[in-house]
Amino acid sequence: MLGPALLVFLYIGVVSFGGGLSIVPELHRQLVEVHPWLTSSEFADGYAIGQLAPGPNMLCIGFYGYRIAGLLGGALAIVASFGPGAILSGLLGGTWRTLGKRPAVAWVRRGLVPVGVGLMGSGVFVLARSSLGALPYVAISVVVAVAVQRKLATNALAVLVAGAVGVLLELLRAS
Amino acid sequence: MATEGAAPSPLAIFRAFLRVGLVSVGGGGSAHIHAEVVDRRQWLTEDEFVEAMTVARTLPGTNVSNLAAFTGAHLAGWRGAVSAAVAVVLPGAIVVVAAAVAYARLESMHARAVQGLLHGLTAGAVGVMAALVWQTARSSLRGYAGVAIAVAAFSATAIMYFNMAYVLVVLVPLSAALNRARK
Repeated sequence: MLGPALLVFLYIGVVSFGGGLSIVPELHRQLVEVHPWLTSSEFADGYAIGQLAPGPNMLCIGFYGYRIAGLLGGALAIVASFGPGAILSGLLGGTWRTLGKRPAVAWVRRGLVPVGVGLMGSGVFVLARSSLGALPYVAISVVVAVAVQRKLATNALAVLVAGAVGVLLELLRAS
Repeated sequence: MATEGAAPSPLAIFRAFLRVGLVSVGGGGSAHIHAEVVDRRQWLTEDEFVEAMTVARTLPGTNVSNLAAFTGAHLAGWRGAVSAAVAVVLPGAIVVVAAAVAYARLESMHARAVQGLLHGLTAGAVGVMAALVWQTARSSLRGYAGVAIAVAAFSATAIMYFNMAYVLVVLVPLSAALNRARK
């Protein structure tokens, strides 16, 4: 099963334009519906573990790879899905200094920053809309943003406190 | 200002991105990379970061690992790229695979507390990313044209769901032309 699974993870790595979040439906389709590799609840649990773990949320792929084909499967799934984008990014990053001075690329670079800021904002907006179900969590986001912006807390501290507040909120709601 | 001539070693890059890989719980890795690479170590300027971020988003793959590979390569060639990409993914990869090994005992995933932790961490990630966007917008958008282009790019992708490729093809040349016109 390792071979076919790796092909799927490689395919995910190549077509995942627009970041991790945009590829989740296709990943689900491939691993749960097209191939009989995971159950839907295994998929959901793996996705949650990927979010809880540090690093990119798409590391859930390591969980899926392990469930499908063991330790080697987990490691190779990560390489196959993160590799293509990382290699392309490395190639561009390594030549950016010289490439960026060519007239055509320099012209594009002049236009890149405002568009990039808009796209970053869009990424945050989409993440917020898909994950902040209830009002208290929107409030947490706002407080974290202000605290980090005013340098009252580091990113890591603010996110950990937000996680703790989330636990408290759910426990209070349960009681 | 990016420090000229004092290019960081692959080992220094590995350390910086390992910190990101360790602390970026719940997502929002780009904000942690910004804190490490722009604020703390001044390896990239604000504008260079936005450029790297835009390229990372445009290519297939996860933004965080792409941004790491791009930045690492920009700073120290292929050794830098490998160091950054591996370091940013490694801690989480170990956690995730360990969780998969122990999975049979993880029936408690549906507990309320775990759900709360998940939602809280994600809300935190949204917060740090929002602060990053605010900071880059303030330091990198110059003049009304820049703001207008950023708002257009935001609305086209976040509200009107245009494909990002079309948005880039239309707005980047427009933005470059406006930028030239102001000079």
